[in-house]
Amino acid sequence: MSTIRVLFVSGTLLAWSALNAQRPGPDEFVDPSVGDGPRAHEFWPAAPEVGDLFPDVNVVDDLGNPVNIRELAAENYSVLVLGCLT
Amino acid sequence: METIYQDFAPKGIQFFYVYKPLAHPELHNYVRPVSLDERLMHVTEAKRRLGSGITWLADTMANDFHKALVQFPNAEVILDPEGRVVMRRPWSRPAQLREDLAAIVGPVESPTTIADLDLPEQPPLPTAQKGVVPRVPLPEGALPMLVEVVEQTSTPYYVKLRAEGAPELWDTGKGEMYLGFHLDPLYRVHWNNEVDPVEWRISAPDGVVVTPSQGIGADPDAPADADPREFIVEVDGTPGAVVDVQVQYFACDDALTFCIPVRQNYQVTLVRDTSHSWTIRTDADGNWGRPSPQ
Repeated sequence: MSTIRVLFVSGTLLAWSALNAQRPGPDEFVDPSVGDGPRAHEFWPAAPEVGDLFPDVNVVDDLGNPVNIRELAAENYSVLVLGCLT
Repeated sequence: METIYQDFAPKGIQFFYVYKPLAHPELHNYVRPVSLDERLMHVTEAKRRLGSGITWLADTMANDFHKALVQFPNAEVILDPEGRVVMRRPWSRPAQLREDLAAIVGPVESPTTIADLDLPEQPPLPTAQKGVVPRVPLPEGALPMLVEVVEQTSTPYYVKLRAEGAPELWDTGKGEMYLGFHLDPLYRVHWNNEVDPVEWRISAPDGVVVTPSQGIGADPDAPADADPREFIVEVDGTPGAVVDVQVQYFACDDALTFCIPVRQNYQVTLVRDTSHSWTIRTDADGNWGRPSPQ
């Protein structure tokens, strides 16, 4: 039998925790990158370091048109934040 | 993030959200998109719920952006106009980001506060009644496994299969596997319990045995509901083995404009899908929660 514990936290939208890290959540959802824990710096090994060119990857705009990240950033300094509905 | 956008966009800083795979599938009933069109539907939904002025982009279905950077769901980077990384952070920290940007273009005299904003935080999409069909507990320590649709069809995947297993299953090819057929709330559909229930069948390659290999979903008295149809099967196979899952069901929209039979096929690979973290269930009252199994 599973020992899954289910936490019920009314009125809170974890969905936006991905987009708004200022909002605290229950202990299980504490920022895992905090401190010196094993997950503190889990960029992929090939991820660009500060000073490196960002990889030449494409994403798409909200209409599905390809967008090159470097070309996108060529206009000015750019902030890119990963996000999702959950 | 929105306050930072309000303060620094006028100074020329560009802001982008990049939509990525769901961090916690099933939270607020959202399920994994199986096509770029569906990922863009998620973007539309994110715009609706967040009401942000920040431009949304979407990662490719190969998750090129996500794979280039970090496994966390809300990493952030600042790029200079040459495309070089000025700052990278595995977990977004707005206060530090504000300091980073101030160092680049100068401080803001009167920073915007959240109270200054009038962002319409919209609720998740409504669904048909939940709490009708009892949930099936996940295997201990289960995490999402790799599930792929066999083909893109003109008929949407109104119902999405999610498979989960514990590390034992990925490592040995043996153990319990969760199969969950979840309605996609973006299609506004429900289980019509006045027609035949969902049926599924697994075809496994030589050397892999799945028990049971077929099943039929619940047929509750309630005329309609939105609970997932869930099953536990026992797998006796090899790590990385691929099994085929065929499912047939009636897709019936909430507006009662159609109710059509659908048959679709998936492949489940006995490996973890690292693009997602653990699932978080949302109950009939919209409450949610589940601690990390790790």
